[in-house]
Amino acid sequence: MENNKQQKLAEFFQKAKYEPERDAAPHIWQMIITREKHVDQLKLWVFSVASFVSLAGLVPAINILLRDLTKSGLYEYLSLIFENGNSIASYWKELAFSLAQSLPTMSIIFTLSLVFVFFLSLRYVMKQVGKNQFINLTTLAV
Amino acid sequence: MPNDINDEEIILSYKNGDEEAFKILINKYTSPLYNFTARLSNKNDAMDIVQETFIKIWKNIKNFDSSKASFKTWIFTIARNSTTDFLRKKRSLLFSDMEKDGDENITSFAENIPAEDLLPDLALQKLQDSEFLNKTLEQLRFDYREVLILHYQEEMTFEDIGKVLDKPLNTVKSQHRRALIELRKIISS
Repeated sequence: MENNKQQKLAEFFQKAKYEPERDAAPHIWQMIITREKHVDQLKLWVFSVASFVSLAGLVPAINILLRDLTKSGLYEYLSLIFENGNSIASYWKELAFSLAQSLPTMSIIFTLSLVFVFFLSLRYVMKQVGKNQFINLTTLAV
Repeated sequence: MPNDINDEEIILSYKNGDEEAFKILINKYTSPLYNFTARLSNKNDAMDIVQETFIKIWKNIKNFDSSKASFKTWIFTIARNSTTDFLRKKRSLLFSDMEKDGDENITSFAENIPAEDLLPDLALQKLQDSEFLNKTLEQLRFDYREVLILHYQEEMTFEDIGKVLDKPLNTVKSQHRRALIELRKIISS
């Protein structure tokens, strides 16, 4: 089709455009703000619960870890290191291997996971609280 | 924020923490998206689809990559997908209409029509009437309608239309041709 006709057709399409309601854009913006607040609140709630649960879980987890460490004989190995430095220098490979073998791996992994979840959740909660305070301050300023 | 600022700069500003930047995008694209979705579906449902589109844009804007497509192309792709999803849910759209790429029956006919005869002057004159144009478009097949709307209403190139519809350039060009022939048929009937 020639350019002239294409141009005319484009003009007719522009002329026939529908007009959305006047407050359509502000309405959409408001809806997104509301949804964002809702999502933020939900995340805040979930992360608060996660940080509380992980913190509560840390108490028994640390107790179990300490008990397992005692059982494993780790403290004996450590005292050996401090008492007899010369023999450590000669047998450090064997000692390191025995030390690694005796560690309660599962308890350590479990405790460290809880510590990780706790700090991650706490970081998000703090960030969110800061954001909310900022929003409240700007609202007050306006 | 100044009005002549381009989409990429607005998005960058939004990504840097300026929440209000998204408001500018909403103000700029509500009307084009409303027109596009209203013509593909209907005026009553169009605003719901536009809202849904903006929520999807808001959720995914941080993943938008301007090196792959322009922002306009990207949001029209989302709007198009939202519209087809909406219509599928309402079951008011014939799946064959959207999915078939064929129209074999008019293929050879379409290829033989000279470019200047695709839309005769008389047909073009009739389309001057906005109401007539809108009614004619309503009768047009869904996939033809989208090509015409994107090309003539949104002034997109065939290449960009191909990106929005996820179709090769030649397919879009041939659909544009067939859409004009179909339009001519509807007008003459």
